[in-house]
Amino acid sequence: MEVDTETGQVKIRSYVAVDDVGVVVNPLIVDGQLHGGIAQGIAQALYEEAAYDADGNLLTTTLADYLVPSAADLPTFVLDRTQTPATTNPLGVKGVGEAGTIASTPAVVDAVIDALRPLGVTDIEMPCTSQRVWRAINEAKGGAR
Amino acid sequence: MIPAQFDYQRPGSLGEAVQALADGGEDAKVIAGGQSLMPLLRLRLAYPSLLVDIGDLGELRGVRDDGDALVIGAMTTHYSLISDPLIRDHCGLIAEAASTVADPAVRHRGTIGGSLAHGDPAGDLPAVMAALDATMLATGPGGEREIAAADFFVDYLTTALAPGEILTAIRVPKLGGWGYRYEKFQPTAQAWAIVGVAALVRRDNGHVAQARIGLTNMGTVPVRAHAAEAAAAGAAASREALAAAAEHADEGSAPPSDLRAAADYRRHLARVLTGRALAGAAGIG
Repeated sequence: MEVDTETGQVKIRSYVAVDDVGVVVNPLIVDGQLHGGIAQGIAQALYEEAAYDADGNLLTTTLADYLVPSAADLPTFVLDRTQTPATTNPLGVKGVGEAGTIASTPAVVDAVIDALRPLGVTDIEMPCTSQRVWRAINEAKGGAR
Repeated sequence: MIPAQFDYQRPGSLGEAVQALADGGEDAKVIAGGQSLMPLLRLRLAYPSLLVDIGDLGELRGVRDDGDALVIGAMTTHYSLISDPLIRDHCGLIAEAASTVADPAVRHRGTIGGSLAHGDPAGDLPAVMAALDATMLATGPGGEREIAAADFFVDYLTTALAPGEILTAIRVPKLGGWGYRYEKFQPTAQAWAIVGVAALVRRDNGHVAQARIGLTNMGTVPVRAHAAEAAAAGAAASREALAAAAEHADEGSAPPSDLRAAADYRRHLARVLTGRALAGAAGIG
């Protein structure tokens, strides 16, 4: 994880996921599920937010306002796996649909906070937008700017 | 969503287009690439009674050499700007900024004239035109007139174009001896800039002789950072000196507070990004 401490901008330099989904029937589909899930989890950590104004009106009503990342915003995911066959079904398979999302959100937020730990940052609310990161750095410094 | 009902005309000449607009009155609107107007129509934030499509006006496409300037047809797409040899050789800042506009689909359809006539201060090209001191060429029922970039952007989504006038071309100076950089700060690759900085620097040995800076999304119109330009003129061409000059970048601006950024954060970004843009334009960053 790379954080620009002047602007608060966050950049994922590399993302490695190791999953165990039991016996893999179709590797392409398993990798595809992981790619999509990881992207969705990263999106929750860094981009997606349903924002409301003081009167309770939803502000993020279009995909121009409600941010989702595209391929241009994400690194190439490095995937690896162990294969421990499930004992509860004859094929030895496990679910893979949500494997990517479950780990990626906390991994990304923790990586942002870990990168800023030397500056004294201990928490940032999701999504970790550049403005929130910048303010967290300023608060940790104890300064106004 | 589906736009409100409108009439549609696609004239074959500039004269016919001006006439169609004049006949359509205040509720007539020009459509070029449609990349800014169509979303407004679909959200019903705009509901013109007549759309005059200038897509058949081939004379409004392309870039030509005009001595110490380039004349860019209003219907020239962002994609064409990025790959145009005259732009590359004489005004690379435009190509650099155009390459950051939205996504490839928008860049293939969207035009420079549409982007400027839309007058969105969050668009990338208005600030570039402000920094370049570009001149807008407009044709209306009364003939052709020229409008300086500083006078062209009047307010949010409002330009000096009169009803019935069509932006036909933009004249920009050739940048012999100037370095340039467009620094765009955006939350995702396809999003509008939270803040953008277009910087031009002319160096004199180890010093900055002259700087021009245009700011994206720092007010209701693109902003010239005059105080930072004055501070940069005569400064040493070093990151420290240019960062010090950039501390003045937000002076005179009135940035919005919105979903993406509060005004104080935008001011901070303008200062940081101006320092980086000046360094880049001076060839040291």
